[in-house]
Amino acid sequence: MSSRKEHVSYGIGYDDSITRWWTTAVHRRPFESPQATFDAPVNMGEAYVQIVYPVRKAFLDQYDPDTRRMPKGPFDHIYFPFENNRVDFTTFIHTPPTISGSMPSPGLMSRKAEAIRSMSIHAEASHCG
Amino acid sequence: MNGTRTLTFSPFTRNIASKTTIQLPLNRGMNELVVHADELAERDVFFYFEFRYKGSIPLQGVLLVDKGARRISEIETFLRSCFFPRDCLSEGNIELHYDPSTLSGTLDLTIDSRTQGFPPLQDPVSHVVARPDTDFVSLGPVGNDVGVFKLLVGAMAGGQLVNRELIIGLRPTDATDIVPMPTVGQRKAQTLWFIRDHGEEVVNRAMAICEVDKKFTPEAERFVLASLHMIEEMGDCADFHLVPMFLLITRYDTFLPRPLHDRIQCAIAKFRYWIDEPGNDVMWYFSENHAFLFHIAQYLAGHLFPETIFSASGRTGAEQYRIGKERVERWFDTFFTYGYAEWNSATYIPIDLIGFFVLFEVAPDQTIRDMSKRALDQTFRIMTYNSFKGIMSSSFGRAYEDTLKLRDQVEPCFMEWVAYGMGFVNSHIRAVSLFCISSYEPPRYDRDILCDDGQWMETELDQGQNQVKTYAFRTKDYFTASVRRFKPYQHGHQQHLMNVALGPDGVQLFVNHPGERAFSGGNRPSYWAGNGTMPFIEQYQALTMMLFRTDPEELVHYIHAYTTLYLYDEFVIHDRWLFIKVKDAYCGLWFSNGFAITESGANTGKEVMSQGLEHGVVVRCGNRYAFDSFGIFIRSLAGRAIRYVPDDGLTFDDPQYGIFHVVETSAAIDGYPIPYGPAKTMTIHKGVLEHV
Repeated sequence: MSSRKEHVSYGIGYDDSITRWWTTAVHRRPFESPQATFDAPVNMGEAYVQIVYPVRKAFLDQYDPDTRRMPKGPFDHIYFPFENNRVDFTTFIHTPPTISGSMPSPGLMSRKAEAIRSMSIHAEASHCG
Repeated sequence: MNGTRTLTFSPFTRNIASKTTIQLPLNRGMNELVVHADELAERDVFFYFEFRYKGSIPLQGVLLVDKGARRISEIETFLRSCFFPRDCLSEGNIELHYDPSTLSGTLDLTIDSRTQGFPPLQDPVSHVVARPDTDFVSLGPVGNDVGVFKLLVGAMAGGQLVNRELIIGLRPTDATDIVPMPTVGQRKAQTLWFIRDHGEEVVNRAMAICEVDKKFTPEAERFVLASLHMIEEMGDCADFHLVPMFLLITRYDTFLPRPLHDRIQCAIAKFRYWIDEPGNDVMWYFSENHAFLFHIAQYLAGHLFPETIFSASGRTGAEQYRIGKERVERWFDTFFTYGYAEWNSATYIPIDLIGFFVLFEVAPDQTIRDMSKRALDQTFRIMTYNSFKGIMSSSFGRAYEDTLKLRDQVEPCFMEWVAYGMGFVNSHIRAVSLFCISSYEPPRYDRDILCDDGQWMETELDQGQNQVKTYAFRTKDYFTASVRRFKPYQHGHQQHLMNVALGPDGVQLFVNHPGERAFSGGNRPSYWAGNGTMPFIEQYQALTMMLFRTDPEELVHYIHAYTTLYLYDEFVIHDRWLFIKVKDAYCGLWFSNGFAITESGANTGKEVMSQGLEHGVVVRCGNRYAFDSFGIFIRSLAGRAIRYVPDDGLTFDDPQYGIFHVVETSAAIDGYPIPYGPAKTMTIHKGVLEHV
């Protein structure tokens, strides 16, 4: 990333989101799981209900986040947020694949970087997925 | 962070965001942060992350690029300013408007209509040039396309395509302005000819082709194969395709090539009909509409192929028939007892109608056919009683952005057109096509809702096991509806809780709290559909009072109204009131925190916003009969006492109804509680408007 020379910069104040990112493509890979039955009630209302399918249990059983290696790219797409505060790849997929995407951030600089040797970012990270 | 794994966060709560607070160590100067996200995608997949800065020292975010940084920023600003002045076009050119001050020179734009979940344009303009000496660019004339389209408008900079999505509805006059003939039978014939050439490319349309052309054309085969593919791979919503397939292989079987018939039969034998059969798909079974269609499919498949061994369950067709029949009967029993759980839903009622029509036509049991007839009658009554000028204009249990903003493009509109000659011809044809090849004709509910000058009619019906209190009030000139006292101050999903329709064209208006910031995002609640935090709503005839107490954790800290200013004959801003006139219909909107008309970006001219977390909102409708003139309507409302204090609620001295007060979860007029009793069957009252 460091070979890139020009900056698109924007301010990040308290409670603002970091929204401009280089990203990989979102990769899809079909996920096969054992055939299984299950039981859950039909939703008799209009609100969202959470029902964990056997396919999800199978996915979680085999998923170990600690063994996931951070990808090296290529990071060749820029995510432009416009009004969105999220880095959002929400979509609709009829059959169950795993999906993954990676985003190395913009650089983060303190506006007073010359005066500060180091600092911490205190941030809230929200994730849906 | 800077090459070191800093956080692993993997709650995997499907479609519900999880949050954690982290400390990221920052070195002096440039720092690099890398995020990796995984998910198992099941149908609608909300796949996003957000980093929200909680520090006090201002930071500078820096996107490093090879070249063109300034151009990228310029294009972002330009695209942010783009909008369609009208949400739906019937004629003329499709004009994309923008702020020319954002351009330093000409800009080549790419237009791409191939977006997920929306149909592509048949003959799209793919490249146009935006110029700084004008404020719009034409994307070509409104062609023959009918429907809702999502366009990606983009431009290249620094080797990157910068683009954003904008939604537009097209209902070209040439294709859809069909004069309805006098009888239902004639309108069904007109509709089948329309569907032959327009609408969703699914098995339902193939049957319309068989009816019109009396043969199985290559196009019909393509549409059947598209549906069959969904069934074979057991993709989510395959049940929407499977149930009509039973009508195809019975009534239209002589048209089908034998190999295609056999392939359909094979797919039916392999399908998974419920979750007690082993499978590894992610089809959604658990909503009212899906459950119904799965049960119908099991019932009909078992009946048609009683000797076949169904591979997912290992049962014979005869067993599937027996189990499916019990499930269908149980579904109907619940439906007749409680009504729709997804009340008035213009999106999902047509899915239920697919099932009703197919059962009405091919169910082997007279009892089931009778139940489907009763359900059809009940559903047409709900659609018609909640429609104004043929447009379903009520609250909805579940809604999407296009369901609300492009109301003439939803399927109940088309149903009303076929049934009664009101409403609009559009591209949603799944249930309409089945209606047209069915012998079913609905009762003349359109006569029930007629209001002459000065007459009013109100209806109330508790729907679903949750007994959601749906209410509507209509006159000849306007229609105003809501759900009374529904889950106030809770986080919403897709519930559309209040709505107004004005004038002879049913101009739509509603107030809600946006659920996310992206204007056309795919989350639930979204910016336009549903509420982040649901308000308390009480309605008394033409007066609706709303209290918003938005959770500070919500993403959007304002409320807004969908206000298509370009469709109003006149609008007047008076202090915190917005007064609207559409022919003889009037509406006054009062926002306790004031409001601002959106004058830039995608919602230009279609939105008013009111900032803050806590609000009192008054929505009052009127017409020329009651108020004589728009000026008197304005003076009558603007001159009345009105007060909002968060802890003490909202009080409005209505010129007709008296002093209306709502606070927390209660409501009163002149100090007396407003009646809030059960309405298990539809209560109907009619009367004559008073002159104010």
